[in-house]
Amino acid sequence: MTKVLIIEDEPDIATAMRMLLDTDYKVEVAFGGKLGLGKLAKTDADILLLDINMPEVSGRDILDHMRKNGIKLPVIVVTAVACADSVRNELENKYRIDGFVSKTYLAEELLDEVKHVLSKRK
Amino acid sequence: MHTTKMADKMSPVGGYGSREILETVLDNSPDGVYLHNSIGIIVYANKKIEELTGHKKEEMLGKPFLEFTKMNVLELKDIPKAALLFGRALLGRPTGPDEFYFKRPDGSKVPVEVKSFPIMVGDERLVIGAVRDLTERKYAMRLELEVAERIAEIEVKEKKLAEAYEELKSLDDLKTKFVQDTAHELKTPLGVMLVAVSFLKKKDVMADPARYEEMVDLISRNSQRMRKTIEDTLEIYKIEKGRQYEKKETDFDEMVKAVTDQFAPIAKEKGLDLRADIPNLPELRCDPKAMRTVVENLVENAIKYTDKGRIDVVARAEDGNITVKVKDTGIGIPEEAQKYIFGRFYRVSAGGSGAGIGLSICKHVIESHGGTIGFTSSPGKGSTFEFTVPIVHEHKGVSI
Repeated sequence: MTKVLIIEDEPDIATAMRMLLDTDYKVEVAFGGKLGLGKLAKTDADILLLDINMPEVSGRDILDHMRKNGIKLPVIVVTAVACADSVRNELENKYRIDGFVSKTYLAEELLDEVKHVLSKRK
Repeated sequence: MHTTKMADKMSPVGGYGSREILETVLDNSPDGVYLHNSIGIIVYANKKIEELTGHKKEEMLGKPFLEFTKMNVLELKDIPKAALLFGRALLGRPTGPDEFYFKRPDGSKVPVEVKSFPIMVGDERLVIGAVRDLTERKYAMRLELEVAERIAEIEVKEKKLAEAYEELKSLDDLKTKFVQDTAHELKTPLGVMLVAVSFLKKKDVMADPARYEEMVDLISRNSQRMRKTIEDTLEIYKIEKGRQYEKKETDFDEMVKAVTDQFAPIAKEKGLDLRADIPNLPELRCDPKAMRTVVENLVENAIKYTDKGRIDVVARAEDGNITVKVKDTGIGIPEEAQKYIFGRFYRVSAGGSGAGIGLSICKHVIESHGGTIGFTSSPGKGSTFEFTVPIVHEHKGVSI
């Protein structure tokens, strides 16, 4: 079963994402960037769903860490930032992220985006 | 008679020619010129002296130099100084330059500078004095001073304007960020609720009652979170517009206990030990709703930012004040955020769940009740928030 790792500090958002995905995927959640770094080191996930605004260790810190350590995992950024377009462009240019979903459109877009990114990787 | 003698004395001077030429030259001098002899009798005064003193030379010639005092040419306060200089001149010493004001009979005053030095005319020692009109120089100096003052004023205003601009700009930046953070704070629970709703819309929703329950809980919790964000945001707006509080006698200890009771189950669910140490307290004249919001905010934040350990809520009445402390063993406040957390439009963490602006509201409420609020925090170890408000009215017979 395809595995999804979620790094998200908001429990309810993580729960919502898990509910959307757990029928089709094996879902693992790390609450916050700090725990996320630990999970990344030993994960066998096929895709990462990553929040950006997290205290202590942010999503950008995670992306930097992945780049520095050569961790190649498809990444979909899931965020509630206000200026979504500019953040998306910035992250696509800087980190070559694979997908982007606004938290407001989780219900409509998350599942499709995960399927889309995974299909591109096959 | 003295003028004749003077003319006789003058005629040999420098061989410039006739007495008329010499007098013409002296009368056209831009400076006043006078001569007095060794006993202080004025023997010569040119036209400029007439102009500066407002007296005809005939009024002065042949009279003692100090006659000036009788003519009220000098200001009273300057007479001792003038007498001293006159004495020095009589002893054959040069004087000046010294500044005086000459008063004219028409009431006008002229600033002047007087210098004198001894000269020998034949075998007689005379004293020649030069009186320079300082009106223009004083005017120029005053102008220069005024210009300098104006420039200084303009510089101060420019500086203040630049500071005000910077302040407005940073406030504007902060407001922009506030709007973005507020949007973030609303988008997150909205996203959760939409996911829950999408599940509830499924036909087989009742097939899994546990999941149904979970959805309803998610909607309930997140709609409350949205309501709080909206209320806090509107509260900030009210504060900006000059919020007034409705104060009345309030049973403070009951209010604090009610808040700790309200949050006890939430703390317990998170595995935290919420302890309340609240003795009977005097009634406090305050806005009960606003004050309760303060205590709720502090306790809620303590629970939110504490993953393990305990939270202590301690209230005391001491020295005419009520003090409330909320101490946690949580993650603490990052040092870089500590100076901003009470700032209006500042949210502690956009990544947290609805935190932040509550503290600026707390600060406003407490300060509006004549109190103070502060905190100590060690990142990774915990924070203690404390506020103190003065007890205005005392009831229940509690001694403070």
